[in-house]
Amino acid sequence: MNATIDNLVTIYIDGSAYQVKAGGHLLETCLGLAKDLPYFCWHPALGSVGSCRQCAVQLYQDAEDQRGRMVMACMTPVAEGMRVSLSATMASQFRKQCIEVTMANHPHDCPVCEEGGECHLQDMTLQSGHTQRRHKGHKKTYHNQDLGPCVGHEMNRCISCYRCVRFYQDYAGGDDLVVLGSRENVYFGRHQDGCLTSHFSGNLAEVCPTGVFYDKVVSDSYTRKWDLQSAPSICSHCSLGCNVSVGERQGQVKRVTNRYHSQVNGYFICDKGRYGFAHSNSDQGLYQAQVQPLGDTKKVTCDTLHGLDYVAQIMNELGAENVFGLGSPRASVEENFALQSVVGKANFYAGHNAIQDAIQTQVLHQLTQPDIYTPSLKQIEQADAIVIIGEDLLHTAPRMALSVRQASRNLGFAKAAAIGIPKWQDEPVRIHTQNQLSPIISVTSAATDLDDISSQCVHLAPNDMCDFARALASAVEGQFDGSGLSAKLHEQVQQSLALLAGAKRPLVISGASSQSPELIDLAAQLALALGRQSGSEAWLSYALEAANSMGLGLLNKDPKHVGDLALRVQQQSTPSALIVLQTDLFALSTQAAALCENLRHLVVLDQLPSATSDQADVVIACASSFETEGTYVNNEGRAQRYFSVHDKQSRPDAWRSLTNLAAMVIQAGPCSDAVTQLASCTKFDDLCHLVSQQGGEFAHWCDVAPSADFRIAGMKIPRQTHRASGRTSLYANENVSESKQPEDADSALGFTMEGTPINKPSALIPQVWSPGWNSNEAINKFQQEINGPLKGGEAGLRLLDISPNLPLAAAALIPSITIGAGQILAHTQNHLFASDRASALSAALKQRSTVISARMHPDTAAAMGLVDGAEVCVALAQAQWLLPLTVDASMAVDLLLLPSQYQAPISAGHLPAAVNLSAVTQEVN
Amino acid sequence: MKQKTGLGQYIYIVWDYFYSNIVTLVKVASHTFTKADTVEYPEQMPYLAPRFRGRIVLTRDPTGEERCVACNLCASACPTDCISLQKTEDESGRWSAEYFRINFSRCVFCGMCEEACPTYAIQLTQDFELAEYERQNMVYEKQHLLIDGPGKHPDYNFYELSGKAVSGRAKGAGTQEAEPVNLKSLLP
Repeated sequence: MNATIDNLVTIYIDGSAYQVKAGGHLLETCLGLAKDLPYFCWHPALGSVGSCRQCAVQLYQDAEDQRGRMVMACMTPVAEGMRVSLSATMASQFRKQCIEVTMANHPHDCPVCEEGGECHLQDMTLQSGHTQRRHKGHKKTYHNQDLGPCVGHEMNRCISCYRCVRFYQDYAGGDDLVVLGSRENVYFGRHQDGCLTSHFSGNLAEVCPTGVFYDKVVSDSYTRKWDLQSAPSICSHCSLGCNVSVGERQGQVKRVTNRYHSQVNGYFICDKGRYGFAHSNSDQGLYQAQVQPLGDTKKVTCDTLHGLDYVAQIMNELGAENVFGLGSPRASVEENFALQSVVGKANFYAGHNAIQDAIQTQVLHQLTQPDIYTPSLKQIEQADAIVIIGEDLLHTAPRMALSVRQASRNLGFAKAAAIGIPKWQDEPVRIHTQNQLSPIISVTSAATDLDDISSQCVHLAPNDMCDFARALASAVEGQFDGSGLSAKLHEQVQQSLALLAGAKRPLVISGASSQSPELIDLAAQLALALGRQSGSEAWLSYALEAANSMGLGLLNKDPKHVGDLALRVQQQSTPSALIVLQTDLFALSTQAAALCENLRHLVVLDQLPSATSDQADVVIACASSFETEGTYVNNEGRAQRYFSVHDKQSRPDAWRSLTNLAAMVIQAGPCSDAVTQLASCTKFDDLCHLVSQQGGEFAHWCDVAPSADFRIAGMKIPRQTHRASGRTSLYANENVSESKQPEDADSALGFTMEGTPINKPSALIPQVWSPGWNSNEAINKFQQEINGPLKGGEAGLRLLDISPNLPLAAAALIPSITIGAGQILAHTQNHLFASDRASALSAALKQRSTVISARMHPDTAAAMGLVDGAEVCVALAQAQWLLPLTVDASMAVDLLLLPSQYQAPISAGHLPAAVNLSAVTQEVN
Repeated sequence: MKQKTGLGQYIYIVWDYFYSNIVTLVKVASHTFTKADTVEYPEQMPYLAPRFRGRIVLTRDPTGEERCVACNLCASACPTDCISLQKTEDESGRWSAEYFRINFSRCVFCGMCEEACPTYAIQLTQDFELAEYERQNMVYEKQHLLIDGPGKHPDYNFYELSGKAVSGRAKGAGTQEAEPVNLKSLLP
């Protein structure tokens, strides 16, 4: 406590004394004190460069000094007894003149600008008091570039704050957005037209203080920020659980933007999270229940209750013990729990194949060990040495790759701190650091996008990766003799050992895409060894399969996967039925066809059609994560609630359908307690209460987010802004009499504009807005301090911290794959924009997914008689896949990498496996 | 005022009652001989002040293109929330309204939308004869609102001044715009 007090200094702003944290600069201090001070070039995540001259304040020598001198707040460290004035005439006049010059060339196009209404430049111009353009000269114009399907470009609007390149190059490591030209003719763009390659390019629209870079996907069916009905949500595309704000208008999801969470995503999300929302609006989605009675050949659509009634009849007919459920790592905890209750724990299986299941079990086993800590993304940024094993982070957990990139700068920060340069002094830190980076060791099967910041890149086949990890762990413990390793691997281990020697806060990252439970285990051994070496707790982070892999894992602790289910159904003499929740069996396992054969009934609850829903005799359409509420547990065990953004649901919630099903089942006769309890749930809070009754990690489930009874001044938190327009006109073409605003019985938010826009738990704000701050920069009004947690506490609950249970059991070993003659080991190569069906429906992302090809080392290809660009046929069991071959000298030998592609003949779920590979010979007719 | 008591109070109340009634009767009767304020509408049209605000229209710019750029400012300014629209964009980058709807059964003709409009697209006319038998018919769509002329500001053309390139107007071709910057020039 004393240390905290020591860190405080007293400064005087406009005559009032404030106790503030030492070490920061004046701008963030003033903003942290809820004062309004304009700025452009500073960004809380990018630091200060002092180039826009907008945050000028008057600094006084002492109490007697009446004149003072002007300083830039963002470049001035706070010091004890400092006296400053924001309102001093000289400083405020200077700020006004500065913005007048900035605005001299700014076009008159706010009405046709996507940023209008949430523009930092508009806000700051008004705040500075500049209202009338006096300059009579011509305005400068620039040609625009085509930057691809996601980001638009309107260079006229540029105010040369340099934030875009500082984010794109310095923060996100991109190299194709540059600043060109000279003097006052600088140009921010690419060397030539073309799609921005960074997976974080969408953040440019948020980072740019004006509308130079705008969100093209949003622009396609544009809605102003004030008209969006928004809800706090959690990204469903990967296991990291980035907080996003989803905006809706007239039943269509219009956009997804970043929602600040100090521990998870901070200020940035990846492009998949931002642009991968189209599946929710897709006309290819499932919107109606379908039933195919036995003997019929076609499904007929019906309403959901009819469909559920049919399922209840099936369940009563076959008997509860013959109805199985398959949960999904993509569905929320509540949905999985409801299904588990309906079918019973013994009949509930995870939507995993054997390897995914073993990995999930192994991950839980390791993360529940008392010596292991799994850091949040923010904490990952504090690691000073990172070993990444078997995970191509940019494609499986992109936001984590961004955190790793920040961690690589820690050596530079430490070096700068040694000579007294604070972290926020962006340019001096970079100059002093030069190109020195914290040690990052990347062990993957092929080159990754993090190789540019990696001190050591090792490209190994999966088995060698295990050897490497094992050897490095024992080397760190000092028990390494190098026996059984090739000379090259031995050298690589020695090199890694040297890099990790001085690490104080080492971190090991691995994940599910390695498709090796053994590697998951070895990564933990390495983390423990490094922890012991550095004298700190072992930091270990896993990137998992899907948004709720961890939640499903905690719910289904006895490992039971789709392979077990197939076996059980096959051995069963009585007819059986399966209820599948948001899973495509065929993408999961090669046993899917056999499983479907043996089932009497297949029921699918999903929002998008799949091979499984085509086979099913009952399909219940259910809401996507934008339309319903639920909880995902992310890779660090943080349970985070998402909320529905739609007031008019196009399809019912999956959890509600399942509770309705339970109610129908109990009407037919006696059934288990779980079903009875589930049937009594009418509201989402009831279901949360049931989940919490499981105890253990779920004991505090009701605390994950406020309940539906939550009120501020008697009102719910409004999803609409106080300025939302068109209430009496939006649907007037259908009926001129306005209908009542729909009520939301399931969450603390209301489908209304009534409610206080700012005084609420900041973690539940659907959109950031504060008087005078219309852009997302308003976030500084919701933070306890700049870059700190949100006022009222962060959302979510770290389940693994609150329940120090005994470590969960380790997974059984998976038999190793035998590679026959003429066969080759095939692994998955993930691609962020192509690997799943949700992003496959986004037109923008589809354009950005690269050409698919199998990849192989040239030596391996030569040994198999294949050449670069050759058309090859990959055969696995019955499936055959024709695709071109690319040889890649950077990757491991004796390995075939197959792209993870939605609807591919061989999906990621079928791999790793030994496949037959042959060149396709052109048939001559 | 002095409070009357006893008998005086009763006399006062009775007097007051009769007096006010008589005054009212006289006043009403006197109107028989004054000129009526109302007119024989619709045979005789009323006088409308030059700034009278009636039915809303959407105008076109001097080149005949729709002026509305679907910026949504009118909708957000509208106190009765009776305007709604959706932006769309043609290949050249020109914004316009995909649909534009005004619910005249809610409109109070306050003119805030006209004041908010940055392109002079939305204007209030002198027409007030909007009565309908069906309230549903008071919902006007874009085709009902759009007129062929520029209305009150005949010369204004937003895209001339916006700096945005649209069909027929390249970058730098607008009013008070310099030629696009040549990045490859090394000249001072």
